[in-house]
Amino acid sequence: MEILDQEIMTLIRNRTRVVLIVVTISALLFAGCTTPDAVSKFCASAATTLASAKPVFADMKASCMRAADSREAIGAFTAAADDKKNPTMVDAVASCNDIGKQGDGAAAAAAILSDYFSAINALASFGTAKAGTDAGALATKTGAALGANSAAQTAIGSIVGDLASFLTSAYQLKKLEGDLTRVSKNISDVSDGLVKVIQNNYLDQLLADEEQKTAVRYREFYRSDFSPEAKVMLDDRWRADEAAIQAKRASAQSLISALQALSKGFANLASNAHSLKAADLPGLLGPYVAQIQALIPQIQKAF
Amino acid sequence: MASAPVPFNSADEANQLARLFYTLSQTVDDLRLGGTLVDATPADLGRLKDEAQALDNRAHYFTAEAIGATLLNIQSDLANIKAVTADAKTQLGTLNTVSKVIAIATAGLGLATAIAAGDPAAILGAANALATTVAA
Repeated sequence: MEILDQEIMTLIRNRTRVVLIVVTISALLFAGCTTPDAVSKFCASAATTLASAKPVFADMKASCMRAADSREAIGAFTAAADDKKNPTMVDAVASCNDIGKQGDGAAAAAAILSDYFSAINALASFGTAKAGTDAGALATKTGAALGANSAAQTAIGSIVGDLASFLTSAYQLKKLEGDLTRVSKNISDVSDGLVKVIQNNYLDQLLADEEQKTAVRYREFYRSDFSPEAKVMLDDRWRADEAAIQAKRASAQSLISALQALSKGFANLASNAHSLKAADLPGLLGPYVAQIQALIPQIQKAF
Repeated sequence: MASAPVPFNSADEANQLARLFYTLSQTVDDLRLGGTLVDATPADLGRLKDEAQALDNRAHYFTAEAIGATLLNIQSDLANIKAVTADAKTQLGTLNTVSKVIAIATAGLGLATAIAAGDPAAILGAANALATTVAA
């Protein structure tokens, strides 16, 4: 009798598996073809890039302050922030504080973008196979608690596992497509805005001004009757300051390149989310992921 | 026919003004350090240095304005991104709970009974009902 029960349960389970497989294939065909794994890798790279932007935006105020500090004569041993008797320097510090507030705004915008990519990464990384395994195990225990015999428990666990994997996968794919396409233009607009701030305001204005004012400080101090040794020391000191500025410039330019790659990669992904075959996605996103991952250490170098 | 007015682009205009004042500041510094000024006293040179800094301060003001204008232009984009991010987090929450809900619901009377009875049509009906719930 027990052997017959087992045979019946096996038959029921096999028939149900066939039904579930047919339903799964149908649902997946209509749910779209975005491969979560390829999406997850791209989004993880994007989130890391945006996290690397924070110190660059913080350096906007710092660069302004370094330029203000350079106005204090060598030998005065005074920082601009402490030079409260000079109204021009008081104004200088206030203007740098204004830039700091805007820099915080830019960093906050980057954080919003980063949060988005982290959320999409988490959604894309959700393990539907593990969800099935966990669900199956839970179902088996619940079946036992409800008095099902051991063969029925096994059958229930197995079927529920397949069902949970199928349903969570279909839901995940459907929601990923929506979440990608709804913000396609927004991601591009915000990336472009952040690139403008870095290029126009940080690189072309603040860092360039700091570079010029730093050179002015050394020119101001220089005397033609300095000893050769003193001239060499002064020159070395200026070169060290200049190298630090160049390093920041290179890192910021890497950030621009990474943001542009992020924007292009995402635009491609979103515009093809409905029709792209799963096998094409790694090839489409792979170059952008590789480019971004190569740039991230360059961004972090100077900050 | 009169041409349409060019829309005011505050970020671009603020950037132009910033560049102008940075250039003016540097020009004054170059002038005082160039050695070409005739009969300039140390006090004169000190006032020129102060003036160059005042011009630099004004440039920084326009830089801050330009950044603010750029960020203002993307506020609606950021609002939509935040909304979709919140949805994605909710969807992840649903995925985390749905698998447990499926397990308990199906191990309960509905699907378990259908499985025990060996009724594939009933099994499929119960499965589709769950699919509808998850898709909602």
